[in-house]
Amino acid sequence: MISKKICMVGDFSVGKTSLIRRFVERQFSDQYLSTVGVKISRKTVAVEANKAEKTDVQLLIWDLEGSTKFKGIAPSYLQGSKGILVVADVTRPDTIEHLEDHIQLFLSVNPEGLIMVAFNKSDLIEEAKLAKILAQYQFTNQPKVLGIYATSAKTGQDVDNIFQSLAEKII
Amino acid sequence: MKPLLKKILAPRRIEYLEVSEKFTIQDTSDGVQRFADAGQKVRHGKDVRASFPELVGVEDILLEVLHGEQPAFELKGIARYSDHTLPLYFDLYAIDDEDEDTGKKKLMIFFEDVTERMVLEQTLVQRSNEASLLYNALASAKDYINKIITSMADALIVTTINGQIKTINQATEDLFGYDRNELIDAHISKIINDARFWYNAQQKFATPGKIFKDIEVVCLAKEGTEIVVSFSGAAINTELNLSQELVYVGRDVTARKEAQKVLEFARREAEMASQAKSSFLANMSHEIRTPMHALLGMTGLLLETELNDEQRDFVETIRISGDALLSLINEILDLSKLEAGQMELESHDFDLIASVEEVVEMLAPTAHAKGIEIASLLPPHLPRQMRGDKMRLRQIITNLVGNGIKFTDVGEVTLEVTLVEESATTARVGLAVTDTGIGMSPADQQKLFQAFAQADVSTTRKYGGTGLGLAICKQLVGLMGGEIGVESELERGSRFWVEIPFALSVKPEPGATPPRDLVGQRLLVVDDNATTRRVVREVASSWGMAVAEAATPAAAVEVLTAPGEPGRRWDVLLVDGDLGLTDGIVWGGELLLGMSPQAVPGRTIALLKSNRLEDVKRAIEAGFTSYLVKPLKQSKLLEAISATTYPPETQTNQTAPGVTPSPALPSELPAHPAPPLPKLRILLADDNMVNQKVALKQLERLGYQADVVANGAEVLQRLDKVAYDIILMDCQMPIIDGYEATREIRRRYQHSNGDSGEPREVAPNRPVVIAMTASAMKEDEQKCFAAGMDDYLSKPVRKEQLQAILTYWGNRLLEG
Repeated sequence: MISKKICMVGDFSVGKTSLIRRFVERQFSDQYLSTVGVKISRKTVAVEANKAEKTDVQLLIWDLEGSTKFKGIAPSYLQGSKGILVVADVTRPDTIEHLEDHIQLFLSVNPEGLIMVAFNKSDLIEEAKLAKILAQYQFTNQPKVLGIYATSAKTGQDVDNIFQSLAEKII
Repeated sequence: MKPLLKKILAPRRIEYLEVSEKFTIQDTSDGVQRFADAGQKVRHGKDVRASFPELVGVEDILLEVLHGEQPAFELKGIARYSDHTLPLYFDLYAIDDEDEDTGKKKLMIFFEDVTERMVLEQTLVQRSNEASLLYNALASAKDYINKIITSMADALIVTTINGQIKTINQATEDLFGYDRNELIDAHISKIINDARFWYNAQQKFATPGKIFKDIEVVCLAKEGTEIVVSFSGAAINTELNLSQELVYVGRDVTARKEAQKVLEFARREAEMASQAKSSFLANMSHEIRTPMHALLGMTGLLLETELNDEQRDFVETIRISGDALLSLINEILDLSKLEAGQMELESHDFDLIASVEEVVEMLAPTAHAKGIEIASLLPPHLPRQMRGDKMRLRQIITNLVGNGIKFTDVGEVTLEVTLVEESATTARVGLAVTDTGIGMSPADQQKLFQAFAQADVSTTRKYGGTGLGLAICKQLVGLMGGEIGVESELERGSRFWVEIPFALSVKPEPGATPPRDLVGQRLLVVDDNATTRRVVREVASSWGMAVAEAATPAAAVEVLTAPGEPGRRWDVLLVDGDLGLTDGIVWGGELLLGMSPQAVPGRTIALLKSNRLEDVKRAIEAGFTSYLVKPLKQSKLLEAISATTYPPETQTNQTAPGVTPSPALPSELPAHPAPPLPKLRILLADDNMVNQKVALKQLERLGYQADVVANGAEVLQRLDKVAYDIILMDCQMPIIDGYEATREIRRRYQHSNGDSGEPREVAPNRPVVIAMTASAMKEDEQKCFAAGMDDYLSKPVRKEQLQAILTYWGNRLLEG
């Protein structure tokens, strides 16, 4: 079975670990536990490799320590990653602003890497506000950004979709 | 691995793996298993990536290291745990090596346990991140509050308890015209020009939790203008330094205050104008009545002097115009009182039927002069004794019936009274005035009850009038809780209807039981007017009489000559004096003459119009036993029908009340009544010379003499010398007015007798005081009685009224 490395990238406390937990363990906790270093989770997904033929892919999901004012993301973790989920917290505008930086960093390590954008915690704001954010951040200048999702690890909204979609693209 | 190296690495908790070019495991240290991914055994010959997924994807780099193209590969802080309470972290480090025996290249991968360091780091990062989140939350909350404060339309000021300004918003700057830095740290007295609120820390509002609201304060703006600001606020406790701060929220109410002032001013103006209007009306009423009094009084006196026909015509015209003017003034007064909501209704017991009949009787001459019939239709079992405002009811009926007569040239005007509803204590009475006059179009009916709106302007020209009457009626009826309406058809006539609820009087209904012997008696009425026949039929039938009707002499003859009739006796025969083309009196006389003596009815009554009293003599001479004047009143009809027969030769001067079985000659009818006049000593007090003259002349005509004074002071002086019986007192006089003079008279005579409790009871020797005033409002009348006057006459005073009141009091004095 093929294994593929993908990374979760974003500011601290945007919900990277929670998204993985929802995707892999189908669980969610409100409690904040910051990740240090890196932790790898595995999840096998069935993807349509080519022409209706399904194959299983083992995703090795690297949960990276969130970026803070004091400490950025170590590029060495990103080496060999086929794609990333770059995550922002819709309730914190600065985390959205930083998406672009994270994307740049990833592409500098893996110019051919693929990117999915997760606007997480989308359950915490009104529809209208969310629609406004989604309309504003389209990343049209980033051809490697292949999908933008409003996710919620709490409700599960679009969590499977975003991982599945990334898996399909990197095959 | 060299034994030496192994010895060095073991105590440092560093484990290692030897990996081939194909990533298969070739050698391991003893403890390396614990760094492997869960459930993955580290064994010789196995792909290292299965146990260490960190290496997936970085194979190229590892090979570069293997071939010496890169010095090393490193990954730090890899977590390997499933339960975060039992964490394991390690750093991974890969370098190249060469097999001593084979010289083959291989990878040496070292694993160093860094759990201790990473757990510390985790705690640190966690704390730091949480702090950051908190800071962010605080910052955005503060930002949010600041945005609210800044965008508030009201001025917000926070001061220390001593009044030092700590915070303001944009609205504060705008309102007072200061820059932020001019106000921050300044004392609040710089802008709030009112020491009551801000200096005393012991103020009530300085207690936390207390809120003060909408206190209006005059404040000072930078350029010196005063602005009125409505402040609300409270004290807040600041936890940090345990001191208090005061928060004020202020709104500029200068414009509102100004508007309020303008409004208040306008309201006061309007009130004053309304008062002025009221008192103007009252004054005008008084002022107009005074000369009217003279005018009508003198005209009346003039009419009694020797005048030639032309002069009489002129004087009559003056009198009629004067009457019209007086009623116009009354109407305007009524209307303005109604519209000002000042009209008060009285509530007295009254006889409904008598009231209705009186009005119709009063208006009958006008109707008869125009050649039209007038009648009131009263159902036999109508309750009579009501409680309400009789005068206003009469006013309404007079107006409606008067209008009917005014707009009818041919035919009749009838007033029909019905009982709409009756309960134990109330009766809703319906009055309908039907005429056969000019009628109205629906459009004209619309504006009928509005003041100053007559049906059309040409009507005013042709028929006269002010158009106020119906407006007054509508308002009066409304005030009484009733309804008014009209149905009308052009050229066919109108029907005005009114429904008014009255309380039933507690007074017993008069026993109007007709004599039993009327039951079964036969009555024939001959009249061309259907309404009159109906009145007679309804009333007489209710008494148990057998009634026959005839509209023409021919019809009457038919009735009288019907089979079995000739020779049979009719008890009562009523014949209209005016049977259209036939003279009813002549015809009736001949009819009676032609009858056999035993067939002649016991009572033969001629029905005469009020303007044909000269027919009375003719009727009696023609053989009628009595006559009735139209409109027929129930009571008089009953009296006439049940009266004992008086043969013509036994005529006496005895006069049954209301009936005139053997009347005096018509010319003698209005002769001077000459009751024995009590000798009265009368004092007339009036400051107006003309009024003095009018009253003196009227008194003289009535056979009285009077002394005259011009004010209240003179009244009191004269009383010292002469013991007057009656004082006719004007109210508004110079020096001492009529009210004051009366009070003084009361005082003077109070001691001479004990009973002063009953104001209407005349003490011996005390003169009777009768107000004679042009102040005609109801309050004026009350004012007179309150001052102690005994009776009241409003000017213009008619001679008849004066006579009535003097006779009444004269008799009282004689009796007393």
